[in-house]
Amino acid sequence: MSETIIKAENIKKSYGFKQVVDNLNLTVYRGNVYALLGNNGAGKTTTIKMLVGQMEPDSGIISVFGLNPVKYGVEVKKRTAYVAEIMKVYDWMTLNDLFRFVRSFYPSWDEERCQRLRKTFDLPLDRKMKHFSRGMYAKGTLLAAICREPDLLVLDDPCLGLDTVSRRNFMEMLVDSLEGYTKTVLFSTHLIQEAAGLVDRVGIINHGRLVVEEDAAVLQEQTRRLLIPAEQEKQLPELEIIHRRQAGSELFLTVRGDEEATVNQLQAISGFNFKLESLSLEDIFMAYTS
Amino acid sequence: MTISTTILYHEWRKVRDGSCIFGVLLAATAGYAQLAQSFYQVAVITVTLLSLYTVHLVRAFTAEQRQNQLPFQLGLPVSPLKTFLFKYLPGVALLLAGGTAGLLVVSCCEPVRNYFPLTGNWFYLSLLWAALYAFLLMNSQWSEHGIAESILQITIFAGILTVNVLTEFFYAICFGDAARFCATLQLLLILSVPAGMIWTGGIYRNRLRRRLTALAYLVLFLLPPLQFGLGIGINILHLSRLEKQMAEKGIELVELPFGETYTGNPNMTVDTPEKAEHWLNYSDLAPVHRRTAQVLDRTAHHHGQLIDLIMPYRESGYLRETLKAYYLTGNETEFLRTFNYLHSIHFLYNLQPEACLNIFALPDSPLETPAFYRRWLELAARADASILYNRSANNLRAILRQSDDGSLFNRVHAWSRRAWGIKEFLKGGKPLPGASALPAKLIGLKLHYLEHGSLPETLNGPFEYRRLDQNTFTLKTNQTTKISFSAKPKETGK
Repeated sequence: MSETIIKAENIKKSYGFKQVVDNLNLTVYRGNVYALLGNNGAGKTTTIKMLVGQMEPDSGIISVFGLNPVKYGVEVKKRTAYVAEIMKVYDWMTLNDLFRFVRSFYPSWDEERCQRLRKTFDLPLDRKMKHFSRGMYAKGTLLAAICREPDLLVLDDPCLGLDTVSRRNFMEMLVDSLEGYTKTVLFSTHLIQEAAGLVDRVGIINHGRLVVEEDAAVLQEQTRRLLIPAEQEKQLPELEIIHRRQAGSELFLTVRGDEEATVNQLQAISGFNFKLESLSLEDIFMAYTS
Repeated sequence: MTISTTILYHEWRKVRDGSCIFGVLLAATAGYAQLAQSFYQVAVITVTLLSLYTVHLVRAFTAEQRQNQLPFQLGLPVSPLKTFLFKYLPGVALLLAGGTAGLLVVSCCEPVRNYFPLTGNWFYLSLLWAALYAFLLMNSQWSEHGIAESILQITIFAGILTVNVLTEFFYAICFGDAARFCATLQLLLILSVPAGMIWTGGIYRNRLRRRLTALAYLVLFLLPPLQFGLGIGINILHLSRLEKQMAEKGIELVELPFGETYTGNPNMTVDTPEKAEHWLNYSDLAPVHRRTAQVLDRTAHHHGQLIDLIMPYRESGYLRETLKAYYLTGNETEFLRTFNYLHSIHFLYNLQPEACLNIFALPDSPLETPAFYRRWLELAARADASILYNRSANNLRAILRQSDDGSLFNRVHAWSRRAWGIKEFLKGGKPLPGASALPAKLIGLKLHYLEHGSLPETLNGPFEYRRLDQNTFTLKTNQTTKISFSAKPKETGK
């Protein structure tokens, strides 16, 4: 396994009496694109704020690049680019001003990449940020983050507030911009479908807890939907069932495990009718969070 | 572009209201300094204000940090402490530096000081500076509203100040005693500038604020002319009342025996006949006709504003020196006329004629005759009866202890002007028991001394009189005033 960039162990955070993050464990490895998936209010933003050092956990340990992100905030921020969920920059700045401003803090700024991506995404340099559409704004702030060439890029729900078309455009842009990108990316979203093509590793957060954390490919490979007649349920062997849903006489089960082993187990039961289907990341997410 | 420049210019708008409040409080402190002349108190207030402002800034800062607002949201690799310093302290430093620079410019630069003829006090300019800086701080939202908007606001502000200063200037030339009234209004004006500007920030936000902003501008525009008009009204009211009172009290208004243009040094101390000659020669004795108290009042301001280019109260020092000059050169007629005028003018300006009694300390004079003092006593007694306004015993004491350069006198008078204010002036002051009779008693003592060659054993009246020897005495009023000097003229070595 490659080097650990982010490690969170048993972190907790509450706002007043409301427990927002509860014993969350999370690990992000170098070079991964890590998607932190969760519904609205699941605790994604709070978790990310703690990970980037903008908020301290009530308990637990967080290390980013091996450092406490609160105590060593400046060192961590030097290597991290963070785009908040509703990112605000100085609205009076033009995009060019914004790039120039941000560039002054990061010696590793990649101007060539910046200009190339800017042209690709058709962003005007001389227009003030406040005059940008929501989609352009998001793209602009994302570019300002990416072009720092950070070791860790953290995006908190970068598509929030975008309409469907803009969201798709944005995610395409994100895919394009991350092409050839060898650094670590952590992003949160509740729009799984758009993120599916990007992700190396997935963490699903539900009610403040990380319910699963796995490589995306492995997760998809090992999570299947099992369709059986409802009356056969009693014959089922011991399987790791994540989610169960009955529709009339049919039973839909989301099961976790090696596909071949599962098939062998089911075929060993005489007269057992079943159908095993692969699942999209969104389906898996739904199964874990329903 | 660095974080310092960016944050410095574009982030403090979040605390602009606080900055404005601070500016207003700073201005109020300066005003208080002028009123109280107690710099210890002012220091305490200033430190308190600074502390409160610091708390305000820290609270604003931590709130931003907690709510992950800019610049924290940008996640820039800058420590919170550094961000705080960049973000807020330059503004505070600028505010204070501006105020200090204003004070220095005004206190060190005579032409600048003279440009504010009516107020004539550097405290007022410091108020302007404080207001201006509070305004500039607020306009750190340039980026929000655009440069054009900000330039417009600054132009409006500059226009208001210009109109105000010009109004004051012409007012000072044309009219007299409304000075304190104008000063009070000006203070209100200056304080209202940052207060009004607070609303500017919300100019695009909601209708109420927009209307209030417009109203604030309107008031600021109208205030100088209003001030002017009200001042005229007050002046006319005041002078007509004054004329009536003077007529009732038998005050005789006389022509001043000296002119309106003076090129000598107003701070010169006239204590020898030679100096007296010089003084009178340089006084350019063009006679001025004064038919009414209003004219007299206006002339007094001419002396104060155009001749001395200093505050009107300096004029009394000028007159006092002139009085001494006539005394030392033996010009009895002009001396008595000027003395009478001094009573009149001091009556107008709420001054005490006792200041004239420093003449006791002057060296020998051709006028050191019983006849002269008898006439003077006659005149003084008549004038004393007309004194409506007296300062406190403390002020009187301060005046009597003053050095001849008049500096203490000026300070005390400045204090008195503010302390009494126009309201007090209109409703009339209370005579201080004993004080108004003091000049006559002193002149009486002098007369007795000249007639008998020694001071009297006792003295009737509300005084505690003690003869120390043939030539010296102490005299204490029923307040705290205590006078102790020799009736024997000083040796001059002339």
